[in-house]
Amino acid sequence: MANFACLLSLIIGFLSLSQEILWVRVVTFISKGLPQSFALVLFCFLVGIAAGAAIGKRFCERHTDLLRTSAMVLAVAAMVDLSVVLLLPVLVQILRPVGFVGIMLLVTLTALLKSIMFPIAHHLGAQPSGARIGRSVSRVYFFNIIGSTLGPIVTGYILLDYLTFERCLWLIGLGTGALSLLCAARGRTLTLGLASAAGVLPLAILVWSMAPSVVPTIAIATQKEDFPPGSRIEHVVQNRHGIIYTATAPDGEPDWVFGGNVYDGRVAVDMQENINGLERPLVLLAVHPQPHRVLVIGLSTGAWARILSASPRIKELVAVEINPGYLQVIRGYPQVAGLLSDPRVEIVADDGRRWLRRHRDDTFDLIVMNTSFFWRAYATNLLSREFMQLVAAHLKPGGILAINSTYSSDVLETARQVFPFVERRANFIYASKVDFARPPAGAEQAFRELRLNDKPVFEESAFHGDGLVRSMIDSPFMPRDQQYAGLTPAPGVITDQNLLVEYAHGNLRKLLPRFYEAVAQVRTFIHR
Amino acid sequence: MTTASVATEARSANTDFAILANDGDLLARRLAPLFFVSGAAALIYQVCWQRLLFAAFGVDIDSVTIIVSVFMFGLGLGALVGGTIADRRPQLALLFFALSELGIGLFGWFSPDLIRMTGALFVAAPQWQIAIANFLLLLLPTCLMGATLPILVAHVTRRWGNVGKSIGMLYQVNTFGAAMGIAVVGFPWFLFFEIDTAIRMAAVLNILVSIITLFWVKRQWQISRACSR
Repeated sequence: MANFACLLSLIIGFLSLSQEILWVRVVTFISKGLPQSFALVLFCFLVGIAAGAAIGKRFCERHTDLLRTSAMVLAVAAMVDLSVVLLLPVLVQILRPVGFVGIMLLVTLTALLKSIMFPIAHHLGAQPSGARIGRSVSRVYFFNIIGSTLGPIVTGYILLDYLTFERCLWLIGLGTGALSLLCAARGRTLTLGLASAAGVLPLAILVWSMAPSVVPTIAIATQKEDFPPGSRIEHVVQNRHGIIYTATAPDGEPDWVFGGNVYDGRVAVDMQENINGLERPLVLLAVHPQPHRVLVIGLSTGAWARILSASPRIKELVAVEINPGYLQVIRGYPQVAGLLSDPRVEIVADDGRRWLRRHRDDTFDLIVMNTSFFWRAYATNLLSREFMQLVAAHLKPGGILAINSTYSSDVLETARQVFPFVERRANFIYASKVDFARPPAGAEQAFRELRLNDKPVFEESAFHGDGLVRSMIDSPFMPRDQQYAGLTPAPGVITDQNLLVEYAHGNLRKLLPRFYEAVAQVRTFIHR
Repeated sequence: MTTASVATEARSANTDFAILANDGDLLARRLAPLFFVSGAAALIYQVCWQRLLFAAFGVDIDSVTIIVSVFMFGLGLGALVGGTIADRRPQLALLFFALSELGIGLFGWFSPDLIRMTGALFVAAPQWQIAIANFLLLLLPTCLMGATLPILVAHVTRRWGNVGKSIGMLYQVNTFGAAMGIAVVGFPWFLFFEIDTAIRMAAVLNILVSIITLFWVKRQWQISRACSR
């Protein structure tokens, strides 16, 4: 029985941690990368585990037939696990707070049902008395932790690279069902085993046929305010790095691209329509005469790198993207696919901050970061003072950093603390160790040279009157005394330690303004 | 403490000790709040160490997998060590628990600088070296964390004679503590304070648990010595 208890403990550990990983992915996706989503999932999961342990303890105290009990509990757990795939699309379409609470209750319930097995497995496998109590307990516990260790490796690293998260959830449900059968077989309760299989298998077949539609349903439900009616989800790319999808509008406008259910940009490089606001990277060509080496952190749809690559002055462009899944998206759009065959362009799949730390001697004329919204989880790593100091060390003399503030005044404030010269255009912040505000004479030529697919990027009208090129040359940046206009209130310096943009100045500040005003007062008092 | 005062103490607390030595319920009631706090501290470390390690080594799936797996594996090794200790020196179970908490607390106090140092040293190294560096860095605290559960379970089981009951109770309070830890550090804490402060708060909690347990152990020893005279 001791060996069976160890096996039970190992599988339960593996299934539980795998499911936690999948829940983090699902809830982060639904909440659009809210920094609190990891804590929220973990909190619900831990409460479920604790409650499950309490129930399991009671079963052990009653000394009932624990194998029979295990088979029943696991059969219910399997059915709940499988139902998750069916319930998720329903819950996200219900009114937001109610649906979200429902999802968090599901997180708790799935953890609870499996963790009932934790005390039971130990009870079955450990000695209640004698000189080896400790070792017998630790043996079963050790197997549970080994199972938990395999969770992030097998499910988080390997399975999620080949299967969608819906399929992984399905596998967890099936695995729990198989464990129920194993317990029934071990307890010689054939009827119970058959009943368990009769409940689990039809549900598994139903869920298998439904699974592919989960991501588009969640995407449409959570983005319905932003999508025009009739929009549909076109491509979904899932890998171990995350979930990317594209959305197509019925009016034939360029597709949207979303990473982790957060808007990344449009697949468009046409400067006549300029849907993507691509004058924000191009203005750099007006103020930097010879941008030979360019680093782009956050490739996404590739539109920004593609438009920059139109300049023959750029001899080398390195693009660092954390999710290689974007390459699949780029390959599908001819507007940006040329990036992949441009010999000057090197695309690296890596964490931007780590890449900079690993390439200490690489310096660039321009570093362009059109990274995601300031309030997303881990945004601090790419917006903090420490990160900007790292970037500053990678700029050549006269080099410029361009970073998307996504309208956060904290990003501007932080840049001003690190760099002596800081400018702003729209939501972009430009920073350098030298004054670069005035374009040099002949800057217009840099725009005349721009060509994509052997065609000029700008029409002649852009160079005259209130044309876009004229605007980039005549007034590239906002007046310095108006730099904070239209940005978030109460600017502060973002550090690796204070996680300012994720918490105190995070996205919830918009939803709960009064609460966050009180928070600001307390912060002022604490840090006075 | 004079002999007379020890004797008085022994008389007044003798009953208490005798009950405590045999009564699993009383022991469990005393251990529960301490193990609850220990669980809260563990989750605060996990969340904050992950943040520091992600900043040091990257927030991609490779780093996430390495860090989480290394953390779990350390707990597993600690569990094996804890079980052996619990059997070899059953009478010292509470002392080992107190010392483990002290070790976790002391490591925790210095951990932010250690993590940043490791990050600076290994960021350019190949992934396997980063995995080993992280494993060695977190080996001590995770082993100590992993050891506490089997040590206490064995201790309580010797009184209750029911493994499922004792592990269910201890795991339950420890996990509720962990949930409390994540509730604090995952929501309100970063609205006001920084990561290093959270880690040091967790270290103080561990050290407090250790001190309280040490007082408890010392009291038991004094009483048992007085009783044996």
